Formats: sequence, structure tokens, C-alpha cells
Amino acid sequence: MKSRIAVAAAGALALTALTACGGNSSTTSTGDQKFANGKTFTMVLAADPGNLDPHFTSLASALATDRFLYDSLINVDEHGKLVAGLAQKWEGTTTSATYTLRKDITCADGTALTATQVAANITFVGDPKNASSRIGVFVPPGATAKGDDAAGTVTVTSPSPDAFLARNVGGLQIVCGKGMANRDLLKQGADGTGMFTVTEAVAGDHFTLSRRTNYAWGPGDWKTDQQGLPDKVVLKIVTNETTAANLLLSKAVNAAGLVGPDQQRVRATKAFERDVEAPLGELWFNEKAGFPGADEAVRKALIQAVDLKQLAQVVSSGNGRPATGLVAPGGPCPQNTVDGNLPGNDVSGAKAGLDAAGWTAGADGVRAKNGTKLSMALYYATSLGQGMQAGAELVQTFWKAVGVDVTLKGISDAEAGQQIVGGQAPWSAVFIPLGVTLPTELVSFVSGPTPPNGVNFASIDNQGYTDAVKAASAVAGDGGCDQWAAAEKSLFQHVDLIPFVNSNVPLFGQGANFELSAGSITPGSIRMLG
Amino acid sequence: MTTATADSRRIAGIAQNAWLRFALRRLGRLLISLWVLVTAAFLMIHLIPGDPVRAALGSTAPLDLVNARRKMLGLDDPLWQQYLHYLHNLFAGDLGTSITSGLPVSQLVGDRLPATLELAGLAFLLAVLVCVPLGLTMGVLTRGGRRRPAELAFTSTSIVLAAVPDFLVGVALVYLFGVQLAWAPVAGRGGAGSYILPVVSLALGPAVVLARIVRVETLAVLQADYLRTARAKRLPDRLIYLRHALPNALTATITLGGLLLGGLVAGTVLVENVFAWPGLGSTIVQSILAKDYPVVQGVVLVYGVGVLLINLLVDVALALLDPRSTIRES
Repeated sequence: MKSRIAVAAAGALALTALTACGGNSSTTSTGDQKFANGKTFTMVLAADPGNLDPHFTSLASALATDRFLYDSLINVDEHGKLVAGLAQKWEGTTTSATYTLRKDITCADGTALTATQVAANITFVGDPKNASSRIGVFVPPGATAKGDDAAGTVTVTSPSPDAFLARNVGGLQIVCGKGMANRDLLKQGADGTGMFTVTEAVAGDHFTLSRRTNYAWGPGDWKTDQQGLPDKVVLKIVTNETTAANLLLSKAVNAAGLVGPDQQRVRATKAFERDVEAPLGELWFNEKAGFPGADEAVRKALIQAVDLKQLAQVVSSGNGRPATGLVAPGGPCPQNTVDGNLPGNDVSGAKAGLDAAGWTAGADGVRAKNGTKLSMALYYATSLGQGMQAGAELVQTFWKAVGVDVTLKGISDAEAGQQIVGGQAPWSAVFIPLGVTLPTELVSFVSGPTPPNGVNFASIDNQGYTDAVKAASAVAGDGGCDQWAAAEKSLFQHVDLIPFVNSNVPLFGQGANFELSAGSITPGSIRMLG
Repeated sequence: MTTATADSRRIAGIAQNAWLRFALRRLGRLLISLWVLVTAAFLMIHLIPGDPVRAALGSTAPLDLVNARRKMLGLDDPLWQQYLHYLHNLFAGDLGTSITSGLPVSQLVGDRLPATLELAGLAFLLAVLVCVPLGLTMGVLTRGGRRRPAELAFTSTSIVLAAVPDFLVGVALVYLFGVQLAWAPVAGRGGAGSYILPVVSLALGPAVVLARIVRVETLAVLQADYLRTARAKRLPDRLIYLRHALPNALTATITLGGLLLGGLVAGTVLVENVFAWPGLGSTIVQSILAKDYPVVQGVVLVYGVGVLLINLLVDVALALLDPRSTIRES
């Protein structure tokens, strides 16, 4: 159960897998440990990856596996900076991007990777007819690419402007020619340019990968003669977190991510640790006409009634970090948009606000306006741990104290898709961590058409946000960050949605060091200790 | 002479007919039960609220992609149409493709079923190997009210061990033998050593329950007249207990054992979870939560066939072993 939280909290809801790790890390106990060559690195996958095809999967465990087997044009390092991948140089505007490939890149079978092949990948994913799961995530719908083999460049053109086009398309994993022609090869195998190839796939149990000795195009400035690289990698599927912790402690595996209480046990042994930070607590209000949340004064009063610091502690079970914004740390824009922009805890102010909005206290303690009671249905995701339910109950207590009749409803991930994002349930407030990695991903969720024509499931209509987004979208890359930050601040000032805590998921290591990027281990950074 | 052979041939003919009719009746019942099971699974999983496509693609997936995928999977059709489609595919042998993982369901089931069957089969074997000698010995020792303390000790210990859930036993065994003493691997399906802890944790409960049944049945059988005759004939003990008492004490054990085996196959979920065993149990739990229709329907079908077949085998075994049984007519 809890292992799916690792997937959900750390990666599944931020499925573009570009969440970079933002947290600090406690290093291993010994300072100078020797690197050992020729060893096997065993890593725990929290869920069965299923189909490994990088263009058709959305599962976080499959994406973590594919990082060993495929490369993308651009990589993100552990500090969130863009570094070279398959492409040496890149530049882009909002509608076009050009990448210059490195020389001498070869696929797993030895054939050279050409610019035309890379362009074919991008065009394939961008064509809506192919129904790739990476469309809209890495490649805008309708985007096409052309490759110039002689010059080694790939030029991408997008029909709709995308402020982070170069970064987005740069994140797409590139499949080699054989795999593009026959996609069945990619289901439990791989055909890519990555550092490892699949030698054994035992369904539901483990994958064995072996390293390619001629691999020379790792992230950034990569050297082929590095010490401590693992010759083999074994990815074991272990869904139970306690079992994963036991395996780590008995030195049967080298790396495991732990979300739940087992992390205390492993941390006590001073194991090597790296952390992934992602948004966990976000409170949304339903602003559709007829719901109490449609009135901004009511929303402000309801947030004033809640002690957000206490709520953050409860939802994250004490392990969380203060929220920094709606985009996961490690994205292109480093601004903290939350500090000072949320209404503070003020219960009397909340009561006054509700009175002013016309909701007068009734005889039974519940407020009413024109005969209708102030009753709200608060939904929360059940797959993210006990903290969510405890947090929902805490909010129910706070809101009851100011005269709101609150009913709680827990929903699974599958239900959340249909009932909340699909707009079928009569929710008034919901705890949903919409983990996005770029500000552009948020736009369709907080503005624009509502379900069933769109995914603006909270019916948010914030003019300040839309104006700032328009200004930001015209600028390519980090130049628009100030405007993106202003857009988010506008959402908080009008209390459309409130982020209050980030989760901190540790990945522990035993007998190996590694770095994290985009929410999972960077294969090129693994060093085995002797 | 001729009448005798004619008679025996006629008797053989009738007997064959009776068995044939029994087989046909039971087969028909099996198919109907299977159809009810498949329909119930289909209805239940489709009527639970939730959207598997969006869950599979993630909340941040673009709406067009979600709609396109839903249409491709035929989930926009009315329920009766989806049901007919599913039955049609079933007869063609196509179990569908998993919505979450994109792999064919038959491959998913085929890869994972052997692991579950191994675990359940070995656990059942161990349970039977333990319960029969244990139950018989206790029955013989405590017959006719002898050794009341031993009887009390046995009944109370066995009920406590039977009440402890199998995954808790597994966790305790892992902590003791895996983490602290490092005598057995903590998790995973590998060499022969990795089977010990999961099989023991699965077998413990059923073994003691069956041992209690065997003991009670043995006590009843030991009171029978023919056993008094056997003693009067001064047959050696081992002949009395093994040849005369044991087979008649096993009727109830076989029935219960069959039920337990069916339950074991479907109930390995938690033990598989604790020991990271690549079996079918964890697959079905994840699929139900993710509303992965094809996988749930496929696994329910497989489990259903297994349990129904086991029950059928138990009935046949009883009909063969116990001539007094009227199962043959049912």
C-alpha cells in the first residue's frame, strides 16, 4: 500500500518525470570509500513497470527503468540545471527548437544514431493518431521534427506556442530504429542508446540489465573511464515497503525508496540518503456556481479558519517541508511563490468574513444563507497515506468551529480521475496534489474550459492568472519565470487553491552512492563501493 | 455363466452410464457457475465508480489523449455492448490487454500463475504432510478421554496458531530468520531456500486446522464396531490405525482440505506481498484498485476455474472413496 504512495507522491502524479530533487541529503558515514568495479547494483522498484515502451507508458516505475535503457536530448542534473544528453547544444523559441547532436552515438545493437531517427521519434509522439502517452507531456500535439544527418541537427516546429519547448522536447526518450519499427520489442525489452541493455526480464519479479562498455554520452561531461560503475543492474519489484527496508538492511539490495514509517528504521543506521521533494498537500475549492467556494470571501474565510502549519504536519506525518509553489522543486523557475501570499490563521477574522458574506449562524451551529445551509463535501485521496485522512479530519474540525457542516469522502486514484477531474462528483473542497514539473502544465487545470470539455475541474476564473500566463507564454525558457511566478501568486491571493506542504521522499543506498534527478536515480551517477 | 457375464456387462454398462451422467451433470454445473462468476466480476468492476484510463495515464495527461484512449478501449460503449464484446473475445481466446501496463492479460496471467500455484501447492502439501500424522497421533493418544492435559494443550495451541493470520506469521518469520539470524532470504523467489519461509507461513494455519479435524474424526472412528473387531483379532497397532482407522477418518479432511486449497490459491495475496513473490495475488489487488478491467476479469476467471475444479475433484474423490456417499446421484 504505502509503496504506491512512493510512486504517487514522488512521481505518478508528476508523470513527466522531470521533478528534480530539491532537498538536502545526509551523506554516508565514512568519508573516503573506495570505488569497486565489476559489481551488480540492485535497486527496488515499488511497482511492476509493465510495458517498458517509453512512448506508451505513464507508470513511474517504468519511467525509472527506462532511464537506464534510453537517453533523451537534454538531461536535468541533481540541481535542476539542464545539461547535455544526446544533444550537445540546443536553442529554442516558443514555436521552434534546434538541437545539435553529439558525435558517435550508437544504439544498443551498434548502429549509429542519426538525426533523422531522432526527428522520427519526435514526429511520432507529436502525432495524436499514435495516441502516445507522452504527447502533451514532452511533445506538443501536432509538433513535427526534421533531421539533418550531415550537420547532425534536429529542428522541431510546434503549431502552438510552448514557453518551455526546448526543455520539453529535450526530455523525450529516444528509441532507435528497430524499436520504432516493431514496438513489441519494447514491451519487455529495449532498443535505445542508454547505458544498459536488458538481458533478462522475469515478469513481475526482476529485470537484469548489463552495461554497454562503449557508452560515452552520459549527462554533462561524462568520462568513459570512471571507477565504480556497475557492470550489471538488477531492478527488483518489491511492493511492500517493510520488505524493501528489510532487504536494504540485510544488504540484499543497494537502493530503495521509502515513504512510510520504515524510513525511520533505515535512517537510524545512518545509511546513504538522497531526497525527492514534491508537492503533497494542495487544497482546492469548487468554484462552480451554486457551491460555497464560488465566493472569494468564503474561500478566504475558510482558509483563515485553518492552521496551515498544523495541517502540514499532520498530512505529511511530520516528514514534510514547507510548500514552495505549485511546481515541484527543481523546475526551471526557482521562485518561492507561497511565502507571504496565503491568508494567515485568524479564526475571528474567518467568522467575521463569513458573516459579511451573508452566512449567518443558525441555531444548530451551522451557518445558513437564504435558507441553504453551509455544507461542504471534502474529498481526499486515499492512496497517499494515513496523513491525508487525518488532515481531512483536522480541516473538518477547524471548519466545524466556524459553523460549516463538513462531510468527508475518501477516493482512490481511479475515482479521482472520473469524479474530481472528470467533474462528476458534487465536491466542495478536495485535497489533490497535482504534481506538475513546469508552470505550463498547470494552465489547463486552473483556467480555461471546465469538464467535460476541459480539465479546469475547479472552475477557476482568475483574470490576473490568465493575463500573467499570456505574458509569460510569449517568452521562451526561464525568461518568463517572473511572469509565471506572478501568475501563481494571483491564484493564491484570490484563494483559488492553496498548497501547504511538500513531501520529502528519501531514497536510501547501501554499498553504493548515487545522485537523483527528475525524481529517480541518475543511472550515470551510480558508483559501487568496495 | 452366460447370465452372469450378461449381468456383469449390464451392471458395468449402468455404472458407466451413472458415472457419465454424473460427469455431464457436474460439467454443466461448472460451466454455469463459471458464467455467473464472469458476469458478476464484469458487473462489479464496471459499476464501481472510477476511471481507469485517467488513472493509468495520470491526472496531468491531456484530455484529448484520455478521450482517445478511452474510445480505443471501447469504454464509451454502453455496458451491455461491452459485455457482449467481452464474451465474444473470451470465446475467441482473447483475454484483452491491461489498461495500466499495456501487456496482454494472457501473458500477465501465464507469467505469474505458476509462482502462485507453486506457493499454494507446496503449502497445501506441507499442511497435509503435517496434519495427517499429527492428527492421527493426537487422536490415538487422546482416545476415550485419555490424557486430558495433552488434549487441552493441543486444542488450545492449534486454535491460537490457526487464528494468527498468515501474513503476520510471515512477518514474524522474516524478522527472526531473515533479518536477525540471516538463515533464510528476506524476500524474492530464487533458489530452494527462498521457498521455506513463505510456504511455512502459508501452511501453518491450514495444517493445524486440518490436524484438529483429523483428530476428531479419528476419535469418532476409533469408537466404531469394526475397530473393536480388529482389536479383538489382535491385529498389530499399525494395521489398526493406518489400514482401518485412517482412511475412514479422512472423509471430512478431504472436503475441508479441498476448500482450503481453493482458498490458498486465491489467498496468497498477503504472503506474496510480504515476501515480494511474483505471483497473481498482488496483480489482482493492484488491478482492482486501478480498475484495470481486463486484468481483473482475466484473473477472476482463472481463480474461479481453479476453485470450481478443485471442488469438483473433491466431490469425485469422495464419491469414489466412500461407497455410502450419495454424491454420485447429485
